[in-house]
Amino acid sequence: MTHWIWNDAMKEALDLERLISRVLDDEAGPQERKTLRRLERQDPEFAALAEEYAWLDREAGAAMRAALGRAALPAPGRKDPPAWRYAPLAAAACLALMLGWFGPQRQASPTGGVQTAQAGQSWFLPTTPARSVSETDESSLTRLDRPYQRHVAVDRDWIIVPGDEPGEFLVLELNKIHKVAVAIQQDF
Amino acid sequence: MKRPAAASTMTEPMSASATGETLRSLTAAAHWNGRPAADQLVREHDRWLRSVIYGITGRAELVDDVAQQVWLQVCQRLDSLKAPDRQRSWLYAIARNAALDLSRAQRRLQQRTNSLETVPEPDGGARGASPVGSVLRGELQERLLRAISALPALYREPFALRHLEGWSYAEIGELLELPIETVETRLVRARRLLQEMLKGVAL
Repeated sequence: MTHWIWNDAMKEALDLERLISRVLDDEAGPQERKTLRRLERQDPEFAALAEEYAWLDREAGAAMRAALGRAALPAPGRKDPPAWRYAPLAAAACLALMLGWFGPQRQASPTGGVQTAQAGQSWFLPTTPARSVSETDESSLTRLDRPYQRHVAVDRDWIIVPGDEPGEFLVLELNKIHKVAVAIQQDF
Repeated sequence: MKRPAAASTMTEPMSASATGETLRSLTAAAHWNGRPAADQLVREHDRWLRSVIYGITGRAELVDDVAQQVWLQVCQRLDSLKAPDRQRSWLYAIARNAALDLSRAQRRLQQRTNSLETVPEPDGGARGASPVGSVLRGELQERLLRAISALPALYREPFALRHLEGWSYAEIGELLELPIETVETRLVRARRLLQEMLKGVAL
């Protein structure tokens, strides 16, 4: 029979791992973060362990998201910046509004000067209307061309693709080729 | 057993509790409107269910299969849902059962059959002409995914929810019906196991 001896060293190791984990998960309070930073300064081995866990967390998360085709999550622990940080942005927005309302109304130069905005038109509007990408793409695709998917090592007999209308689905039946090796045993 | 506190709201991805009311209203609408509301249910909740499926199976290639099974069952059994307050748990239970069933079926299939030829993994042409850094990056990701797949589902599920959905301990505990301390412990053990499995991998 194996007896687990729960000594102080093991408990301390678990507590340290728990502290690192809570900081990585953005669940730690300010005091816990301060404790972690102090321990990192005092103990290079602990600092290396914390760095290893942080690296592992980043890479494992990125690998899972890549495997599932997900974008990166927003950075955790981002606190709202103080109000004064918004002052330059607010000033720029006010300036943009002012230019939009009271922008230069110069007439076009007879000699072909700089193109100016028409009266009542914002400087920031695009000069050409935006082209719908979906219109272009859809016109060149037939219904059977959508979507392209490659499936490896799956057992699905069918694929369900959402249609254009809510509640509409396209059901594709797969024709699979099974490759199975059967052991042949010879009896004498 | 300490119950998790009410979860905080998140903008994107969707939090565990911020849209409880939305889920109730959508399900109620689905009963009356049929497919359109069910389609919206899928769009609203497919993401976190897929994270759950990956957490249970540990294999990204199975997520699509299981997700389709889940939503078909949801559509078939929607009329039987009686308690709007338990809808998230109901969805989770369907996803969990489907994921476990497929995982078991895959394991039985692998035990019974030996394939002489293996279908090569699509590499997208990355290995042929890409720089060494990209190749090493791809190999690192493969090692990480294999290590994550080797984790016990007990630890992998909260680990996946934490990294794929960014949920807090309280939100994970609410879905998995676990105390916050248990969620925390399982995440600690998941990280420790990964660290042991990947010892020696360069930082």
